[in-house]
Amino acid sequence: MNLFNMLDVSGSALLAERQRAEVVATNLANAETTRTPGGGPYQRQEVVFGTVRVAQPSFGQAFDSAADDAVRGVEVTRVVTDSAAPIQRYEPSNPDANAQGYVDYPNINPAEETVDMLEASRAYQLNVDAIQATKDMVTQAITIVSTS
Amino acid sequence: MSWLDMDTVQEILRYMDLVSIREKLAVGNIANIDTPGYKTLDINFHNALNRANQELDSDPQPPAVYQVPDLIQRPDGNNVSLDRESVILAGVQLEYNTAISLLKQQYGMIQLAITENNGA
Repeated sequence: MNLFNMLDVSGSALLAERQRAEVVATNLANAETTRTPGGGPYQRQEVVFGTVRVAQPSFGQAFDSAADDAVRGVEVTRVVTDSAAPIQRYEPSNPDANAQGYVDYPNINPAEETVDMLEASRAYQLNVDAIQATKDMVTQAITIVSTS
Repeated sequence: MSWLDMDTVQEILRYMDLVSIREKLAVGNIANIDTPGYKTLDINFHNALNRANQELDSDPQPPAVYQVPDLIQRPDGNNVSLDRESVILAGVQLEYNTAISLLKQQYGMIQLAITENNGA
């Protein structure tokens, strides 16, 4: 794995963190959704991260050391649905109300989602910094050739 | 060993190899900062550099990667520390730049030796 492959590792993290932010945005957007194609209110979703080998095996990698082999990227392995019970609100005039006049609303805590969104955003920035660091190192290495 | 492969140049190149391995591990750790159960990886830089410099004439042994102990672990089993990785990332950039400056200086000296006699 050379320095260029490190861009793939950081890139995988950028992708994963963006997917996480998208899921959080979906949760916030659907905080009041009472109708879904599957019936019932919207269920909160959450991403699960897992490590992944980023670079495809290639000829050059046959000579890689164990240290290079230990480096892993990250991916969203699955999106789980929160099974928390819906919140019931008394709204007899709502067309989705049940016989007792209660409406099932998604169990979404805006504060929790906002914190999750901030975390995803910070992790994204951190990985952008890591990409910048890798780029700077490659740029520096190039200067060995360009000046003498 | 050819005249271009001076010991100093070899040592600098090994140093750069190890520094870039450390950078890779730090980047991998940062990428997995939210992965449940992920453990921070690193190499023992000083041991690896000492060993590499003792075996300058043979191929270097790859350094052993270990899971860094004594880091604070979060409830999800992940122990990546943002501060630790940021400091390493900043450090390896400086170390790498230093090594490249030294390397340029070494090659500059060879260049000097080649051109110095041109006027005579």
